[in-house]
Amino acid sequence: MESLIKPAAFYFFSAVAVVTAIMVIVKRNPVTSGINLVLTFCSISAIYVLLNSQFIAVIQVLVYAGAIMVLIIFVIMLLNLRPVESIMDKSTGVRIAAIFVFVTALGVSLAAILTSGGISGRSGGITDEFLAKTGTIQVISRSLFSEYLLPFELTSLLLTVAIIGVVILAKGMKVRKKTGPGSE
Amino acid sequence: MEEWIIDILISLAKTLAFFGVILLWAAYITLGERRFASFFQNRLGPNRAGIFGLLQPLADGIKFMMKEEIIPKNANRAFYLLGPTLFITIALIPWAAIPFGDTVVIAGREVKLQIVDLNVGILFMIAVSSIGVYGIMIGGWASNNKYSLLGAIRSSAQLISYEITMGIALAAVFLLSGSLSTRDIIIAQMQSPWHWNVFVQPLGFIVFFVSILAETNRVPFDLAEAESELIVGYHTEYGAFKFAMYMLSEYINLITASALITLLYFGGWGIPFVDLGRLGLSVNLAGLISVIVFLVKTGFFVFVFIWIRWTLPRFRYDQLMNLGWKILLPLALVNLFGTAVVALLV
Amino acid sequence: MFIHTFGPVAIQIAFAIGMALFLLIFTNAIGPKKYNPVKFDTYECGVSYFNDARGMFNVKFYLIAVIFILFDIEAVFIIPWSVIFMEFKKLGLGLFILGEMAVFLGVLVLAYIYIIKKGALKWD
Repeated sequence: MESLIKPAAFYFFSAVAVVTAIMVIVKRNPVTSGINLVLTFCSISAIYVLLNSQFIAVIQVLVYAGAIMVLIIFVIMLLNLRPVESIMDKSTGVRIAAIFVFVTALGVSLAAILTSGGISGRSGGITDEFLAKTGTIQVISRSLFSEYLLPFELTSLLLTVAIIGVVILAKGMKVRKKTGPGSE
Repeated sequence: MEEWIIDILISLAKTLAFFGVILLWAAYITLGERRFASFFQNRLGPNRAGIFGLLQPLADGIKFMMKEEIIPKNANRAFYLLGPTLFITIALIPWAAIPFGDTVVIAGREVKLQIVDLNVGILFMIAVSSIGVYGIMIGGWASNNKYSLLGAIRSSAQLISYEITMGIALAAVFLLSGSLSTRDIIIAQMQSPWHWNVFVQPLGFIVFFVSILAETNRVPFDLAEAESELIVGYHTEYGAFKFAMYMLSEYINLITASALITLLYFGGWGIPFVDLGRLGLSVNLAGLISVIVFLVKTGFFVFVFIWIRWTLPRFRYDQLMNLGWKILLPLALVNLFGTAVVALLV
Repeated sequence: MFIHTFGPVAIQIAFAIGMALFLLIFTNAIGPKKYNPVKFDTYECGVSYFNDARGMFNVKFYLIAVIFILFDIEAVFIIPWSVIFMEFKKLGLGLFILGEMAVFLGVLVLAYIYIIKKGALKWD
């Protein structure tokens, strides 16, 4: 039974992810695009669940859908961005570049899939039993705080740099502070 | 029948029972809130529909349903409808991880009184409720009303600010239980009432309680719907049952918050100084008692929330932000580190 | 195995969505519908509606949202640390794991002090 439900769920959530991702680009209203991106993140999180990575799935929703997208939609809503007619540069050079990037990305992903264990990704050391054992928060934290200690500590530096950057940028924005009905 | 079909049927039954209980409960809190409010203010409150006004929620529900649905002409139709729908959906999901009782035995199999015991339990709840902010943002923005938008912005900034302090306060609880599973956290507190997290880390409890008060948009943190300034805030333009959906979800969030306080800091379904397992009761009776204990504790905290609402005045917005970022955040970190150091020494 | 953990969550989500949609559609269907142009105006305390509500907002709100993301990521690292703490302590690595977090938070506390000193969280 599980062998039937799992692929079905995988194809369903993949389809949702792909369709909503296309919507993000196609829709003219930026808020619609934002909400579609939230849906994309949620379906990707469901795919993580199917791979038994519960912790990553939850973090995906918490950080991407619940934090980063909140900021983006906040900005879209409050800057009062109108639906755009077209901001795209449609010259021939850009078109050729876009097609080139698309074909390369597709080729790289296909090559990666075909050389590593097909679409399910189960090959070599990565078996269902292995997946069942990983993915719980205990396993992830065990290796995060021993094997990957240096990257973890460096993250704090990265966050600090980001925070300082944000504050400096915001200081520059102070000039335009009092405009519109929302300035209190 | 195959094993998994029975399991799915049991979990269907649990979900259905949950939906019945939570909706009824949320509806009756609206009555409870008004009755207690009038008690605190020395008046009678709604007491005409049925004995003690017990039919009032039913009357309100019918009234909300029979009203005309109005979508303001300046509003963005699709998002205007999406707001309350999203908000109530998100309010209902976190309960999948809350254990409302111990285990019972049905048809020869052990059934946990919980929809599902997840390895990432509490984090799942926080992640889901972090999406709830879209319900407020979209609703307030789509209405295209200045009051709604101001309320929505205030509310979202408030929700995200207190989410961090809540997360760090929770980390201190996880440190003691070594697990994110809601059931494990309760079992870690089972030995005696002195193992309840409220006594083990009172500072953490205070930080968590204030944060969750702010997360549920309750007084003294109801800046989002400050009646004197913003009419009712982000749902000003909502009428009929869409308003009821917002209100219902706020009360469901209130019950969720109370259940969280119960299970994280007050030992879940544990009764002080009584070990249910040793009384020689049958498993099902003990299970039933555990459910009652859990509901009573949760109900008590719902009452505390109502009590606070009709007792305290409202904060100013700058005070709210200062409290969150400059007082609670350092306190949460101090509590986490203190807990870690003490755990190391003991 | 898989069905036991995520089947119930899927059921819960499906029920929640179903219920929200039912409430939305059902209550819309049974209410009266009488058209009146004034009724569909934006409600602003009786004052006639003037210009669009959506406009530029105080930069503080964006700042809060960005700082929130950064501290949220910090919290995301603290939670796995707290879950594994007792296990490391039992292995005799208690001081080691405490030190790890002390360094991590030490750097971030510096950033926090910088924010406070620069007045980025000051509301006036």
